[in-house]
Amino acid sequence: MKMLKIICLLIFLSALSVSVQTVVTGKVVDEHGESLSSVIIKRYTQGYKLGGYASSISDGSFSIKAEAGDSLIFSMLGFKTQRIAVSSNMKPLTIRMSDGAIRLRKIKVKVEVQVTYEGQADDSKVLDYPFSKRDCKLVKIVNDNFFIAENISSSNMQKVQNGIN
Amino acid sequence: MTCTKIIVLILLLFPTALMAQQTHVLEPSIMEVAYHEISGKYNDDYALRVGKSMSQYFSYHKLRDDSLSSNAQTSMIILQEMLDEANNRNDASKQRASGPDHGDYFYRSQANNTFDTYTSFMGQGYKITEPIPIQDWNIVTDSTRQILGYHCCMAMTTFRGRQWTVYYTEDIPVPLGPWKLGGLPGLILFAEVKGFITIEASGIKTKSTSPVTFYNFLNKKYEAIQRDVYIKERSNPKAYPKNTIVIPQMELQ
Repeated sequence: MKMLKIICLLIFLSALSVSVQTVVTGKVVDEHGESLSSVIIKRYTQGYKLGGYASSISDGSFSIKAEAGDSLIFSMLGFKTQRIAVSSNMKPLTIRMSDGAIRLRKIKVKVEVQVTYEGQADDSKVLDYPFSKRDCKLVKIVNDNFFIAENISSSNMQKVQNGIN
Repeated sequence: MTCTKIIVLILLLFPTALMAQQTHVLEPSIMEVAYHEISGKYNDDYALRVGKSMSQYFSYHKLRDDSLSSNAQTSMIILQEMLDEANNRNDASKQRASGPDHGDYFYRSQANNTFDTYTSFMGQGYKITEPIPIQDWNIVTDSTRQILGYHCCMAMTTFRGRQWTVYYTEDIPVPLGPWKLGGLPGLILFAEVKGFITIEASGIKTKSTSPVTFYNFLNKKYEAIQRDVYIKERSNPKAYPKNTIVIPQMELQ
């Protein structure tokens, strides 16, 4: 019986050491310091997978579970999207969202090439014309900040960061 | 005993819950989404109008009906349409918009965390106020769909007795959707309950949208009622006249 208890305790402790989850809290405000409600906060894991989401309440406050190394994306219609990297000990944040045009659908964005296919590093270059006009073919949308595109001319698959807004 | 009677009498004499608010603008809107709703043989078109702190959801056809009916001359147009509908039951083009929540106006206030439903039953207007409903979604990221050119992900939930499957897009960062649905990391563009209802976005506009507006063209008085009391009353077959075709409700509990 005692043995069982010890085993249970060990399992419990090991579980604790594995999860380095923290709760990120804070407040979202606009450029004038007024609180913003209904701001969507998405948590992306290091593998760019949606790990959770939350939205800010009427006083602008939010709280979301995350792990160190994750990214939090703050987005709201009419505001520029913000990205925050999660570290292990985070103090309550104040996220200031700046006005952006309400732009739907047309992804006229600056695209920054980060990584090329099969780990070949490529020079970071900024392509500032619409995605559809480039010599690239969209292969997969990973999330709203990352998509994978294939360069038709050189058949290099590229992982591209899409800096929406 | 007499004391209670007096209190009841006083309560009856002063129906404090009754209120008639006139049509007035609530706040400017930044987006309006049109949805087409199909439920059995019924069709309807809805607007989701989104402001900074409020949003509203209502039937375009109901709004038109109310607007035209508020004036003695133009109300004849509606009467004529109703006659045409009744005389041509087999002509689909003559059938007027209808559906489970056709007559309702919904207002969601983020600031007050309230969700108001203005509805009517047997001629009486009712106002149901509740905290903003929260759905416990199960996101299925690998099931995707394109709707109006937006990349959408699937999510599922059981809400008030019905199993909903929706598609939402993270491209539009608004945690809203048709009817009482919302709380996802993007706008819901499609919602379905198999065998009951299909709601699909038919258009989105962000330029020169009408403001979020409280509509009461008919200056109707709305009696405050608890949601469960209202549902119980509407689910009672005895509450309807004989041979009434009862459209199933959105909420079963």
